[in-house]
Amino acid sequence: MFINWALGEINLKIVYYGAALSGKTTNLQFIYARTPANLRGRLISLKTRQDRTLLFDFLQLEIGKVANLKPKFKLYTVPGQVYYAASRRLILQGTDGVVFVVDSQAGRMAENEESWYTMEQHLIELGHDLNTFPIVVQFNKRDLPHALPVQELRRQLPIDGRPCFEASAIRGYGVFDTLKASMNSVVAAVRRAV
Amino acid sequence: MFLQGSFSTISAAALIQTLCNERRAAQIEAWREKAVARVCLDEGFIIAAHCEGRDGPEAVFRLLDWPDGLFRVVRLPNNMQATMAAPPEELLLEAARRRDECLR
Repeated sequence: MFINWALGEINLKIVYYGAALSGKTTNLQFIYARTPANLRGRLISLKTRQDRTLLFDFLQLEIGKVANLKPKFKLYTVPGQVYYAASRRLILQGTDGVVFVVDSQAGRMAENEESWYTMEQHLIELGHDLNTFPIVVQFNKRDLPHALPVQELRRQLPIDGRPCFEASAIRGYGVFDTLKASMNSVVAAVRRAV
Repeated sequence: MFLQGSFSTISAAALIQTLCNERRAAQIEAWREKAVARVCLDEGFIIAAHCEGRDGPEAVFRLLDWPDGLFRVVRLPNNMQATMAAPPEELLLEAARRRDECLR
């Protein structure tokens, strides 16, 4: 969270985290394309091996003011490959919420589990309490033929009671449901804190 | 001069981000041993940089690699010529990416 008194804005950061090629970038591209140009900032794209790191910010007017400040959300993706650990940690610094993107395909569970574990490690190192930190889970690629049943995904990942959404980011299905849930949980956490 | 300190107190990355978040028009002057650096900021962007004989983004990457050093933040000179317009996040993430790929 960063409060910009001069502009009357509260900047809130949401990070899309998950294994390489799980669909984090596709989520952000879909959101960016459907956000009015006058409310969004520039889309920044950095090429990493296999995927890209994206980020942009946008003013969210529907959600109302937070402590009399206009909420501006910054959305980031992390590079998913294992060896980009320092980049992921840098991106998670100062984050207010995480969307964990699960690749639903059978055969990707090891990567999902590894990614979940590193997310938890980074959040703990950054001083967050995993019991209260806003994490929303998206089961992506539900449209693919080898997608595991949701019950199976829930069984294999330590999701507990966190909000979960099924999605096909490439088709846009479930993308905004996930984002809205994450924004609401972040704003609720901020309102509790102030 | 209106702010000075050490990179052991606040990192170059955090200093740049804070000033950019506040959209300050400012120049960071930094030095370490015989090396000097200068990063100019305006309206939330890095608009010029020089460090150890390098200019532009490469100068910012070089400064971010400094393990320590001292800095002061001064008013942006009136005759300052912008030579770039980069959001700080873009350069910081690129620096992190390079670091990760070097360590691989």
